[in-house]
Amino acid sequence: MPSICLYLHTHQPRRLRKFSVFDIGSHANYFDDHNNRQILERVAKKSYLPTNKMLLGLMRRSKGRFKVSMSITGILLEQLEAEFPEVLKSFKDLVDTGCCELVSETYYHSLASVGSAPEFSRQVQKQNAMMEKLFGYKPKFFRNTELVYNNDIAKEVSKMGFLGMLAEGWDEILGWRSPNFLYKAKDSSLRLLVRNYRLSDDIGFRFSNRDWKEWPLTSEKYTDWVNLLNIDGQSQTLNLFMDYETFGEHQWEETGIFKFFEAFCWRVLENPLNSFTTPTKLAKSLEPAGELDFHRLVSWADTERDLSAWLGNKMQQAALEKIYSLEEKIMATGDELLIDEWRKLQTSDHFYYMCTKWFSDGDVHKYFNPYESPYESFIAFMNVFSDLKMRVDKYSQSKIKVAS
Amino acid sequence: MVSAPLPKILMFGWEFPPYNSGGLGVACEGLVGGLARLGAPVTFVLPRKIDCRSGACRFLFSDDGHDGDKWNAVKEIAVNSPLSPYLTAAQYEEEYRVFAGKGVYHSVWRRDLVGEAMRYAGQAKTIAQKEDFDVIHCHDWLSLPAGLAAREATGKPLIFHVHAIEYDRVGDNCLNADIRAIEKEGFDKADAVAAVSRYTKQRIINCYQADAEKINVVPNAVDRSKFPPRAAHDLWNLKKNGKKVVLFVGRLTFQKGPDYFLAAAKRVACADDSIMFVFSGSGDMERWLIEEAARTGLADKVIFAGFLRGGDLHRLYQMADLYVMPSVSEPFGLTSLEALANGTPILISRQSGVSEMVSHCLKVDFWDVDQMAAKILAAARYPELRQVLQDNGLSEVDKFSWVESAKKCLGIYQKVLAA
Repeated sequence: MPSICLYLHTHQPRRLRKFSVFDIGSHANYFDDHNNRQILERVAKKSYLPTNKMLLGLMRRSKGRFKVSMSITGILLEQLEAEFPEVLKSFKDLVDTGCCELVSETYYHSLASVGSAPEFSRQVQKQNAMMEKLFGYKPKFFRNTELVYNNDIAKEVSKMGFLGMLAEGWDEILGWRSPNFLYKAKDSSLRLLVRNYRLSDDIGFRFSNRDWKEWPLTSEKYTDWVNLLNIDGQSQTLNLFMDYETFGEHQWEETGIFKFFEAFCWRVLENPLNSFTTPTKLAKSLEPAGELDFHRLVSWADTERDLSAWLGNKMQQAALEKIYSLEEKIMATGDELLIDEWRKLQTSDHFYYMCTKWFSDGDVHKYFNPYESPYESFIAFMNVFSDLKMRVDKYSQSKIKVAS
Repeated sequence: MVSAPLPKILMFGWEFPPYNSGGLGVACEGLVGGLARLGAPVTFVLPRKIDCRSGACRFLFSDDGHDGDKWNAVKEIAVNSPLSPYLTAAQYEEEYRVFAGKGVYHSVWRRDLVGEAMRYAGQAKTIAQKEDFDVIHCHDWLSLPAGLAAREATGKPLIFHVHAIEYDRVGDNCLNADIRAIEKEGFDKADAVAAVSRYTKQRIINCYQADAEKINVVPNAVDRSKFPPRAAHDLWNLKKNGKKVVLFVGRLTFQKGPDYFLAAAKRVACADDSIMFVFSGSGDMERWLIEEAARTGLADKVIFAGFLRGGDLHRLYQMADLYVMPSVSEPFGLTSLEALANGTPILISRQSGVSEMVSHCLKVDFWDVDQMAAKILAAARYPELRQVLQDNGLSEVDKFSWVESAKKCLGIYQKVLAA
């Protein structure tokens, strides 16, 4: 059995309130604080707290042999810090065991990597500062929003001083190669770990699907699959990357997800030769098996593994373009609050809510989407944007007055 | 597909294009066309002789062979005739108010709608006895007495197809008791009911305590191949001046909510004076609307285009930046599909059948004038919103097909014939 590299990601956006055209110019609060708090409370109760309890238990009872890596967006951490300190503490407890590697990302879970390179770098710095502040931790690995990755992004991330990065193990890029090895980025020393999407999605997506031919998935069956990885060769690592919310939210507790996962981990740990590992440990102990050329943007989303869920239609493209068109002016104000609100609008979830790809099939796009339709979402976003732009414009005007 | 021979259908309608005053005739034409594509033979009966052409069915007119009869005089009735199915019955009752329920089927022409429906029923019996058919299919209350009479005369099963109920037309407070009674009889006696939406099905259950098991949803459709291609309509001077056009198409009457549209227009005009509002249609509220528009200072923002059809109507749809259907209660809402098929984004009332079937649109509660105005302004303001609504709307409207609706009807026929 290869080492298992388990990575969990968590994030909650600041959803916008239904900001009407008539609110433009009012400079009223953009965010639906009440709804955001309620959703976070629910997710914390159903997912974060029980998951952290499970993970901590595994670490303690295995005497540190169970390891996990995770990333938590700054925008979520600041909400936890302000409103749910006990949940933040449960994350800190995990980090304090020393069995938990924190992976960096953009503070705002944004698409800055495709919107603006300087802004991308600033948001990563901000996330690193948050890691340092809350956990006393300096991340060495990076994951981009939704695992969005290509060769250019790798170069940016390498410049920021990271040892390695996580990406999607998409067949189109890997070709004949297996996702179960350490790789490096093209023309760069940046180490790459790519997601084994089949085995990750068996847990993340399919676990409770009764139409799936493997349902119900037992820990015995899943352990057998993992063991098979060693039959045809020497898989080095099994990269299981998934959402934190897999546990308790995407898959409810009633589906048996917690029991299944705990049992699987114990099956792995039963054999003293098996191990759990983390990205930095892998990158330091292994030589890259080769170089991966991501000539196009790849994400971990949908069957297309591209950015079409965020930038697939003209509303999404216009919204993204508009938000980054404000960059220069807004940075020039130096107004922390204004800049923070502008950044909260960059959170990818806003663009995701505008996705029309599967909308007519009745598949309202994903969890906690506060909108009735992608069109409503675009309207609210653009109304907020228009209001923000007025504030920025006012700023520049008053500055001009002061200067003259 | 069905291997057994298809049932022969005797269909009772009230109007048929080009002699239609609204969606009922259009829907009948569409459905008959769909049935013809499936090879189902339809004999379509109309109360009055008109010059209709359709390759899809054979026409019969209940007034045929009665030359010299008084009621034959109505055979060339034009669209705005007093016998339009969309004028409320109340307006005629000053003259005659004799209907006393079932059993008054006599062939004396009367100028009230209920009486005319009964006159039609009297003829229907004779027609049914002469014709060879397997099932009876009637549309709305006006042809329901005819359908019931045909059923009584032959014992053949009856499908009552509901495009609107009296509660939609006049609201809860001005119900015509006779019409409600006719509809109630239909829900009780018909072997099956076809409703144009789940919304309508639910209202039938709620308002008439009808048996839910009996009611099948058969949505309307549009045939986009019959629509003219979208052309550049830069001809309109208004558009040249950078004005945006927001369109209302429908009867200017309570059910269609033109007053809510006007109230929203008022809100919009305060925020943006480059938006024009066009009403196409006529009806009992027309005068009031014109006066109200003038009173509230909207005279130069609102255009009353009158009742349009065919190419004129298509051009109007295509010229509009947004189509609004603010109906108070809309069983289906065919005009919104027509707008979509013309590439025009739509904002529709949630109190409508289409709102449960179309996702690529904006929606609003008809009474929420602020939201209606806010969404009109957003559509005017954000071109990408209109663009994506248009692109996706055009492909979504192709989901609607008269052949699919006709297949649903065939399913109903087979079910009642097997019963």
